[in-house]
Amino acid sequence: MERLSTHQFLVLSAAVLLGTTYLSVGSLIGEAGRDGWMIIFPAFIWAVPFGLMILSLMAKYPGKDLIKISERVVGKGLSKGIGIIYIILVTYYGSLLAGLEVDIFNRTVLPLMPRFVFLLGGGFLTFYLFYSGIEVLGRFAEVVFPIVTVGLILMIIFIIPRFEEGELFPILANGIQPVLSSSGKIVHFSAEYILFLAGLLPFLPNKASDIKNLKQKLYIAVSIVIILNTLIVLIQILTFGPFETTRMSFGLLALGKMIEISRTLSGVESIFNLFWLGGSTIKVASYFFAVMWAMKSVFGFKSRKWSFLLGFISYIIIQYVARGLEISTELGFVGRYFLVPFTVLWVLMIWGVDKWKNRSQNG
Amino acid sequence: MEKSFPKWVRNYPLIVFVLVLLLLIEGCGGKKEVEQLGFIMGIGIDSGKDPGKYKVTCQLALPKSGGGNGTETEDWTITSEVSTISGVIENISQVLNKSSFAGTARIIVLGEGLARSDINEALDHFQRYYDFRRTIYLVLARGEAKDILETQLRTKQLPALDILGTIQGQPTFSSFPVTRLGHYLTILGRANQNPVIPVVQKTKHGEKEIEYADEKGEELLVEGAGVFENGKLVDCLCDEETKGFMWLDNTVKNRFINAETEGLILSAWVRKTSTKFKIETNADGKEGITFQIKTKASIDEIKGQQKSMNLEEWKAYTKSLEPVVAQAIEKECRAAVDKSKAIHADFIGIGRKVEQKDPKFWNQVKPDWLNQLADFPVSYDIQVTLEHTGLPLNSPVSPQKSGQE
Repeated sequence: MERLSTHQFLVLSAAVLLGTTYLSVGSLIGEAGRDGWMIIFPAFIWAVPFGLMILSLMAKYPGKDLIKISERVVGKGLSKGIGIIYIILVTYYGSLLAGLEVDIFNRTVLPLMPRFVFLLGGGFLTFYLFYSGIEVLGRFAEVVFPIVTVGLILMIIFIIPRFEEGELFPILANGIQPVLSSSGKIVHFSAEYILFLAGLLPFLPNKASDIKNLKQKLYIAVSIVIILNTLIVLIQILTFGPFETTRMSFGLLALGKMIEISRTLSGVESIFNLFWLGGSTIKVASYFFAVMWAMKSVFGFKSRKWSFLLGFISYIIIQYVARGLEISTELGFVGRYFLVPFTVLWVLMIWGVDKWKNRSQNG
Repeated sequence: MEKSFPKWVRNYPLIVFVLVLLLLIEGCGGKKEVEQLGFIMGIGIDSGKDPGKYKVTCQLALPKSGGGNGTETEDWTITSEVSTISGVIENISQVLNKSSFAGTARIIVLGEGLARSDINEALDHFQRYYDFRRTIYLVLARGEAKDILETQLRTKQLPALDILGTIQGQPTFSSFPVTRLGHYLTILGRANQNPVIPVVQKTKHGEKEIEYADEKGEELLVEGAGVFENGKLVDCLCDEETKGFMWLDNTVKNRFINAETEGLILSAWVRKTSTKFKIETNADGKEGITFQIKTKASIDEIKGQQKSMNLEEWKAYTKSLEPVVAQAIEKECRAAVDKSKAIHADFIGIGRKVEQKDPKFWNQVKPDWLNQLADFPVSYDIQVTLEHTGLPLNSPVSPQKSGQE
């Protein structure tokens, strides 16, 4: 059995949680307006308690993912049902995420490139990572995530000359309610990660000291993502103002086009787009892994043909189900109304029932 | 490892690698050499003859092939009447044997007629189509944008590039505001603030106090600014009002300012300045805004000072000139504020400043802000520090005349 190191867990967690959220999070600040940068913390912080709940189950059920743990805790029938919902949700959501990446490139630097070329390239990379195993995905994340982070930091630095004066003030003029309300619209970003973590458990080191270490890494990963996303929203508000930030589909791409260094260097947005593609690949590949693990846990499917079937289904979803703006709205809809309730109920139920059983046994 | 690669992949990695490389061939398809491209440098938009149509002027720089100098270009300007801005690209493709490239466009010139009807719809294409950048500059033409872009400059330079050069040189002189598309859209997104766009106009020999030998040659002058309300030109600011706006908007970097007092005229070179503001209640119990301007300048020219002074006297004299420069700055600021109140357009963003400092008060006045603006107290606290007066102390007069013989 492959095992990720705790460092790989940290980087992979941060990469999956961050995904490509930084591309669309600005447009989702909604009624929070110029306080939009505050919506990140409440939306992402809940990944910590739910992540800790899952990691705490790991010690008791070593080598099992959350579907297998569910089987032990609530029985085979219910866990099978949960597993099937998990497979459907993650397949659909992951495919939409892949479609979003195609959409971003089609809208920006490569408007005439046929969609199948993106899908062929992305599909090849995803299959390569899958057949190489989770450890390679971890190493891939160790290479790509720092590049994405450096890309974001460079963008933050280079865009400073474009800041508009005083866009951030007044702070909390309309109170905290709009911030919480807007935050509620992006809570599914954390659910995306929790669902991946649910499948990742068998590949994590499970000694007591390791689990303690993993919990610390979880804190760090979530903190990194909160800081990065907060800064990204902050610079968008400072550059565009709150109204324009909300109006733009992918504000970060517009920011990339605004970078000019001493009137000589411009047009660097294509390089940045490559960084974002790397981040997206990790996210999409992680979902591919998650679905394949779940199919193995629920149905015992192991052979290669199932991965091809999954690839084919994803291709159909990307090509024919939603395109353009539909993808963003569909992602938000599925995320808010399916992913979040499913994740919250599942993790709370398994963790709660397990705790209750423990107490009953000890009592 | 989850699954190993198929045997044929493991046995023939080179073949697999070459197959993957085939995917990259797509990148070579349809490539264009630089000589095959026409680079759009500036776009002028006027109202068309037919209602709802635009008259779009595109100024392209065409690279000369086979020339001795690789950077040589020729002017290719074309005007077309279209229903949508993007329609002009199609028209260009029908008459130009090169592909037009919009990513190099740096200037949008908006015709006065269009500005009086609506520029927002005309700008939609530029903020939507990915090739254009939000850093593209906006200028308002006095007259038609087409005329501006077809100006026969004495330098033979492309008018779009000439305007670009003038705008990019602005930080040194701060004599007109610089408005990029992104900034315009940001201001548009603020409640009750009006965007401004600098005005460009043609000048000839003898106009605007400028003279030159080639009496037929033309120049482009950027001076003043247009104030917009919901995309429509409301009014234009004169030079003094524009400069006053820039003081209050904290967009002055360096500039020369003339100050006059009791037969004395001096020119101060502003080297560093910053404008802050505070909202406070005045003696009548009314909330008002105070602009606090701190400026460091040097004296570059003095006319009317003939008395010879020693070092100590000169030091005191220099100190006495500071309020004179402050008054000159205040005069420009007052002109801008008076204009804002007169035309009921908050282009200075006083309302936005009130919102920043006192959001509760802003919520009270916001619904009727433009009417409230007319009576809104505005005061100035301007501190000028004259750091030096150039190389000499006294002006160049003879010792006999100054009595210093």
